[in-house]
Amino acid sequence: MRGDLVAVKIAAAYAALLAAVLLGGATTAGAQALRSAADSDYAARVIEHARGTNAFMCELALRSIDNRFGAGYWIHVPDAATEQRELFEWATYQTESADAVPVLSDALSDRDPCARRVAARLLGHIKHPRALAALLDRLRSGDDQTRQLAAIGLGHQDDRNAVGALLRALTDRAATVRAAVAWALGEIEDRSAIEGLTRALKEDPDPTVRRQAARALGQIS
Amino acid sequence: MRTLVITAFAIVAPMPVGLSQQPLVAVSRDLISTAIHSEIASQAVDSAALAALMDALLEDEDPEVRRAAARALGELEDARAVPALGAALQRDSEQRVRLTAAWALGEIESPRAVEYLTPALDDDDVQLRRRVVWALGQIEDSRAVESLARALDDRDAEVRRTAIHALGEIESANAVDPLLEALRDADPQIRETAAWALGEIESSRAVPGLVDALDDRDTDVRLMVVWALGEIESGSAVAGLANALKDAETTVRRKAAWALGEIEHSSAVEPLMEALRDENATVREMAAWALGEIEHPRAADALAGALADGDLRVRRKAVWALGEIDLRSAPPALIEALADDDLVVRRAAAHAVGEIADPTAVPRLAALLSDDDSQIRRIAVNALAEIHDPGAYEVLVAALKDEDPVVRRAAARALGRRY
Repeated sequence: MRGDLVAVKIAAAYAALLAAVLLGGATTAGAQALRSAADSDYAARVIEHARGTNAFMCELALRSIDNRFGAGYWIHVPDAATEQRELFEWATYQTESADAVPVLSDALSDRDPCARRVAARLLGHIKHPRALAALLDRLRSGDDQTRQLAAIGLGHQDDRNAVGALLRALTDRAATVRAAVAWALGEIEDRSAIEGLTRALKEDPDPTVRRQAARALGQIS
Repeated sequence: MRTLVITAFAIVAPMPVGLSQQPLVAVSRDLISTAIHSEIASQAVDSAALAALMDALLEDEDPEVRRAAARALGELEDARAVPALGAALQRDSEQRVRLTAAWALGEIESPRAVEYLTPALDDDDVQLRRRVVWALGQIEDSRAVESLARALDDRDAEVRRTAIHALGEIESANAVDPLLEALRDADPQIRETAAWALGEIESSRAVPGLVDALDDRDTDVRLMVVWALGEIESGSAVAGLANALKDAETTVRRKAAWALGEIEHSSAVEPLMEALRDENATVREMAAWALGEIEHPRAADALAGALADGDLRVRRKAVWALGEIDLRSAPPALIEALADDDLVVRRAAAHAVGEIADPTAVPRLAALLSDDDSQIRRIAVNALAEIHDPGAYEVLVAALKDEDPVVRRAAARALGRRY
């Protein structure tokens, strides 16, 4: 019980800190305007806020997208951060909206590393065929880092329709992509991936890939 | 899982084939197929994947890969992996791999792992010994008892405490002697856990050792010792627990009263009667409860005296206890309690008087028939039905006009039965 309380307090402190760092001149009027904006505008604003965020704050943003802090977490963010809060709340809960897919898909090759990660994570959470298609497209055609992010997004999608493409990507030329692919296959837990993962565990020259393959095989039982 | 399938069939089988039942049947069939499917799925770990993981565990040059393989084998919980994990535990060059192998063996919970885990109890690394002793506890097999008993001599308190906890979970009588020794450990947490384990095992062989530990200087230990004696329920603990009724700590005195109520031995009556005069109300309450459990008539006067207790909880328990005891006549205080301010006390008193069937209670019971609470009126009617007395007859006839139909019915039934 006491541990929970401490965790809540730490989460609240992080949230306040995150809001303060990311805020950058948001006004109440701006927040008002956002309420009536389309999902694609929301997505664009989330990406905009993610740009230039340091690795630690970016991790917090990703976790809030995964909703790992639990519902009601953003209540602890001070009033001044209204816009920020709404954006991330939207990011946490609006996971069905296909309208945001084009913006997020473009952002997968954004010049900012945090913007790319946030976009991939959001696409992973939008359970819509268009989001799945965008991620599959990037897994095939993006640069090294985009393919890696697409694989992670597909792991979050947790959709069996991605298994075939992921299995093919297990022989990607970049080890970082293969490791992400192995991780994603472990998340999807489809037994048809066992053979490919077994081969990766036995034969892949990169230890991180072998490690993720072993982990994935443990997930799929 | 197997039980679930059988239960599901048992639910489906006798169901009529009426239209309205169709959806439910369909849902039940889904449940069955899911249950069967997941059972098959959980049994069939892919052999090639298992072999590759075991190879990676023993052969891969990268320790993180070996560790991930150990972790995966633990997740898969397949007993075929035990020898490979055992080998990794014994001879991997990296401590983190050995730690994960020990964890995996604990997850798999196969008794075959005991022979691999036991030698690691002598490892120099305290983290590994802690993990190994945890794994032995997970296996919950009597074969692990000997190894765990050995771990009770470990120099690390955490290892000892985990071993004791595991022995309590396994509940093997073979663990009693080493646990009694642990009851004299220098660390109070260890002594407390040992007392808990002995309470779980419930062997009467532990009673003398536990009674000796009743004067432990640590309150938590004494509390757990008293609890264990209450679990074991041996009459030979009564004298010791009677002493614990005079413990300096309220919690210990209350727990001692509880334990004596569990043991239900008549030699506890006098000490418990004394405890009815304890300075603490919760102790007095528990003493009254214990006397109700023991049901000995010798306690009647003391319990009747407790009906004048200033604390409501004590009066409620005392009046309940008097109802439990088989008495020839109702103590005057019990009849007085029929007019208590508290509804619960009045109800319990009416019930108790009915059990005793004492004619002197009739006027007070009759008065209860104008009580606002209909349940009390019902209990009073039932109590009067038990008493062979002309006065009772008249009151029951009057109760036929009660505003509550349940009371009227009870009165009619009582009159039909007795007169």
